[in-house]
Amino acid sequence: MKSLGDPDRRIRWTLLLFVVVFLAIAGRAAFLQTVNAAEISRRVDLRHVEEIDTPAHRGTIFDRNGNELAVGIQTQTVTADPKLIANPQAAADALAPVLGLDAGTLSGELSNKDTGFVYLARKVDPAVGARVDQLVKNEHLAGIETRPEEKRVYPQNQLAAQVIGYTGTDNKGLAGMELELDGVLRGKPGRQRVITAGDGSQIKTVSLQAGVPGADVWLTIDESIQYEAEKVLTDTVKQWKAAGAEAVVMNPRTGEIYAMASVPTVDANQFPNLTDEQKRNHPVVDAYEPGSVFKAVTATAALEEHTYTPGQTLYLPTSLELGGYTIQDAFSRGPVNWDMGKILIHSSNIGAVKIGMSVGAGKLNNWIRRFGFGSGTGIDFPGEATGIVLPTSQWSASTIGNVPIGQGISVTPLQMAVAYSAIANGGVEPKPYLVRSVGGKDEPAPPGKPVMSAATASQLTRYLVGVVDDGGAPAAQIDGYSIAGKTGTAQMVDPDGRYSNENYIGSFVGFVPAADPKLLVLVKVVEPHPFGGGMTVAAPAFQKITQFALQKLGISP
Amino acid sequence: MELRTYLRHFDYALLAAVLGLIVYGMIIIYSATRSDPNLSSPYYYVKIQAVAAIIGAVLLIIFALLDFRGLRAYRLHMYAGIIGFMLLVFIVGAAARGGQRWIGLGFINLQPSEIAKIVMILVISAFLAGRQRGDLDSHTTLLAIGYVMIPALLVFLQPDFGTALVLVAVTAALLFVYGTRMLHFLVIAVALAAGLLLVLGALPAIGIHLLKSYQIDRLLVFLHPGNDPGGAGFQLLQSKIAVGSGMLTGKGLYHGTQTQLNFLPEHHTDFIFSVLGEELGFLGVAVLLALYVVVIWRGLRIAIISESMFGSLVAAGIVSMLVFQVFVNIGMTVGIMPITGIPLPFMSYGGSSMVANLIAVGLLESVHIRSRLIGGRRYMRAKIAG
Repeated sequence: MKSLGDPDRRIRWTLLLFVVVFLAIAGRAAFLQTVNAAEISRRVDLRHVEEIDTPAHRGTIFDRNGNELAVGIQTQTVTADPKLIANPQAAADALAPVLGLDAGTLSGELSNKDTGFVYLARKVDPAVGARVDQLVKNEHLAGIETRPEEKRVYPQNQLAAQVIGYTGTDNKGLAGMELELDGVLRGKPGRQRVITAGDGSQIKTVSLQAGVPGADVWLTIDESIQYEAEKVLTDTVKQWKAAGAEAVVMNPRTGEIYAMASVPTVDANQFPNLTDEQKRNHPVVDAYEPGSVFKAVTATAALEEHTYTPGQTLYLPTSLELGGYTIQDAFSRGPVNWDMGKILIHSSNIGAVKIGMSVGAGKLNNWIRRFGFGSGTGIDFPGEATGIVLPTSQWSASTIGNVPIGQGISVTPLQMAVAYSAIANGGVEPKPYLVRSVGGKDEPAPPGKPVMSAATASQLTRYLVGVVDDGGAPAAQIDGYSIAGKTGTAQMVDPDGRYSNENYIGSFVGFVPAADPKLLVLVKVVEPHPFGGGMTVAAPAFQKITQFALQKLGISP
Repeated sequence: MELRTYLRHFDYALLAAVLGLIVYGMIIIYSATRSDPNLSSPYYYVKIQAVAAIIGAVLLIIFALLDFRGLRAYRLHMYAGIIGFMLLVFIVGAAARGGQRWIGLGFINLQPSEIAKIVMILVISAFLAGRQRGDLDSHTTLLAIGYVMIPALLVFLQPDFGTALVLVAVTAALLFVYGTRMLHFLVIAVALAAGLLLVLGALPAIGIHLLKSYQIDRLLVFLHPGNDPGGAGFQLLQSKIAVGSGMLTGKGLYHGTQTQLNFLPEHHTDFIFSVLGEELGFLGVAVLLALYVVVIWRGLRIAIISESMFGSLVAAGIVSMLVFQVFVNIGMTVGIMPITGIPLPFMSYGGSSMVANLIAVGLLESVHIRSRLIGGRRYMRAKIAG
């Protein structure tokens, strides 16, 4: 007889135990999958999955020496899905003090069940975001979420603000270099799948696609020269109660822009609150009638067309009648015989017009276009103005009395600076540029464009040195350096279309050292009061900015 | 003896059920891992699992053809070998998930605790079979417990609480089948309960932590999963939601949202049952359990027809090991057992487990073949005599 302890019996008992075990498992699974299934499915529905883009870090904009001009800093953005919010009032009461918002307004936003997404606070301090996360966890505030978002900050505030531009709330470049370089700064956003539990807590975040951070950019701008230019211009504007002032500081050999200033300055961090006028980077996007600085263009045409030979003198009467208008010089004198040098030193209108007439309207206009007036310089900045160069078919009988002296034509300060760079650079006009390197890779300097012969360039340089040295613009002189430059004083056009008797633009453009130019500075002062010409208003500012830049760049005489 | 004779005496029902489980498991592993963005190929895990199954199948045949009775003589060698092997883990084992469970053999990571299960079944069975028949004194029981305590402690310290439990459970099953008095079991049960209280309650209270805190969390969380939905309870909650939302027929292969959205943790290893439950529903679960029932039925049948106590014990031990793991694993995923990290036999992804379980099946086949051969001789002798 088999006892209770017999192995065969024990194995059968084991089998019985196993059957019980399996019944327990099967029963439990069946319970979960049938009886309990409805409740479980509800819990599944309470959770949700969303795929969100994680914005890439936006590249930093540096000046040429690695100083930060525009940086992205980490902030938190608080959003809500009103459809998931059970008690909007309670959620609003809890969140309002943390976010510094009105509880009533917040409650209204959270009650709007028509939408599944609403921003509560964008780009708040990470500490505020952390407090919101804590609240969501402690108070089980389903439907409230925080996500990282980058905020664009301009640590230098006003410095080169109109050049750098700004980004919108979504960190897309909207103006200036931020717009120009948006493609490289932006990077590629990553993609995440975020799974959120019914109580709002994130269960799991799966990275679907890693983002690519945007590239850093180094500009050609030199922070300290830019700063000095803005400071000098601000002082000048204050001293002369002027409407504004602009400056371009560049390398006439390569076209690199060291500084580009527009005064009054604005705070780049306040860009969205500014008027369009305030946001403009005037030296590139706004044209003006240049006045006498343009006479160098007329002189170039005559030298290149051989309608004027160096050493030749021209008879200059006291006034000149042209197409019903009388042309006079800005100062009274008797009839003289002057060469081109003297004409430029004294900035004689009659002399410049006679030189222009010797070239002839058609050829003069071709030379003007050859410098690039009437079309952009091609600088890497969005929205460059072309200026206006009328075709000779639209010229009147008096036009040849205007254009050679820089009237009846409009140019940008940058175009003017680039034209003088051609003279400084042996006749080759550089293409101006603002981007020095992208992502650590140097951008090669764009090739220049030959405009005039080297002989003409050096002849003009001699004349322009004479302007500064022999009484044309003594305020521009810097001890030890030989400077070539030219003043300009242009009447502005009043709203009624006539030349104004009160409002002028005084400007000065010059390069240094004249024998081997390495620096070119253009200064333009708008509406100085009381009246002052380029010699009085702009030349001292030119002198200060140039002196600083020479030191900063280590340029010896 | 001819190979054909051996082949005739294989238990093909057992083999078919095991093969069914392995294929079933690979389908579920594929579904669980195909959309893993970190994988070079959606078949990555399936391929590795297939390689392990092939290695296991070769070993299955080798062990089936070997006479398992020969292993009796080597019980002390095996015992010393496995303990040495486990000690080696402490010395050179690679750290994994807070524990040292693996040994790198260059191309493959071997988990000695998986081998330990098989070896301990053989060692305890050999020990018990070697006792005088009817020798049911407490001496035998205590010695058997002593034998298992050393390897159980070693795996426990790795720390692999799940395998330690399996070793203890299998020893209990072997003692039960051997015929140990019920009184002994009563004493063992009381001692275990006291030990558990000590480890989980009394000792931590005075600052001695034999279990790591995550282990205690995992052990106890099944009682109150809602307490900690973000931590240890999360796995359990997600698993229950997965199984439950599968309902009767499931969401369809590759369509389990819990699985495909990665709600489920370790879905191709410890929680593979949840994937199956979600995607194939209760019908899929029923098919799985039916396959296991076939394995158990054939295994216990082999235990009964075995001519020797050793064969019966080995077969019963192996079946107990498989059943215990099935129960603890599935029980864990449906919330009636603690989370212990025990893989589901033949289903969960994992090479060591697969190979060890197939060796176990090989031993079952070996017992089966020997019984049939002896039975066959008897049958012939009877015929001659008649």
